[in-house]
Amino acid sequence: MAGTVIGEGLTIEGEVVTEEEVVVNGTVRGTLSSADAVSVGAGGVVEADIQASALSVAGQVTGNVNAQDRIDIQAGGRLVGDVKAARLTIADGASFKGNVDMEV
Amino acid sequence: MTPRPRCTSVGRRNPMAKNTTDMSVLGPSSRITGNVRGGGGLRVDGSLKGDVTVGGPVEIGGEGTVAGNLEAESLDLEGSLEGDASTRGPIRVGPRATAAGTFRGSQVTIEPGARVALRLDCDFELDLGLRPTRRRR
Repeated sequence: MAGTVIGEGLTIEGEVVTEEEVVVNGTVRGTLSSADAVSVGAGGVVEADIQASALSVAGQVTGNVNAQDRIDIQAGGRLVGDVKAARLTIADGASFKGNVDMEV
Repeated sequence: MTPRPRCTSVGRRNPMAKNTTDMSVLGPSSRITGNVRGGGGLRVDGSLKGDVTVGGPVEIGGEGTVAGNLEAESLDLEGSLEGDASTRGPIRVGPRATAAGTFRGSQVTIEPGARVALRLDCDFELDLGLRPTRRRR
C-alpha cells in the first residue's frame, strides 16, 4: 500500500511534499512533490505542478510535470501541461496537450 | 429523553468508527501545508499545517502532527494537535498525545499520560468512582 493516499472525495489545497509513493483518487490543488512515484487514479484530479520519480495518469492532471524516470498517461487519462521525463508513454485513448522535454 | 453529551476524564476506551474504504492516509514523511476537506476519513502520520474538514473519522498517529482546526465525525489522537477540534462523535486523546485548543465532541476521553492544554466544550462528568453527593434542596 502506498504511503500517502488521497482518497476519493478528499481535496487538498496547498503544498504536498513527501518521500513516499502517492496515490491520488481525490483532488490536489497547489503543488505535489514526491521522491517516489505518483499515481493519479481514474477519479483523481490534480491541478498542480508535480515533481516525482515517476508519474502514472489515469485521471486528470493540469500542470507541469517533472519526473526523474517516466510518465505514463493511461487510456482515459488526461494531462495538460509541459512534461519533462526520460521516458513518456501515451496510451491509446489518453489525451495530452503540452510540450515534451526528454533531455535528449 | 436523549442522553446529554458528556465527557469522561479517564478510562473507557471508545471504539472509534472505522471505515477503511474511503480512508485517506498522509504517510509519515509527508508534509502538507494547506487545507484538507472532503467526505471520507483521514489518517495523519505526517505533518499537516492547515484546517481539516472531513465527514469521516480522523486518526492522528503517534508521529502525526496537525496544526490547524479540525472538524470531523470523530477524532482519535495519538500524536499532536494544535488547534480546535469539533466532532459529532467521540474524541479520544491517547496516552502519548499532546493537544492544545478547544475540543468539542459528543464524548471526550483523555487517557492518562496525555499532555493537554485544552478547553472542553461539553458537559463534564468526572469518572472517579465517587458516589454523587446529596444535593441540598
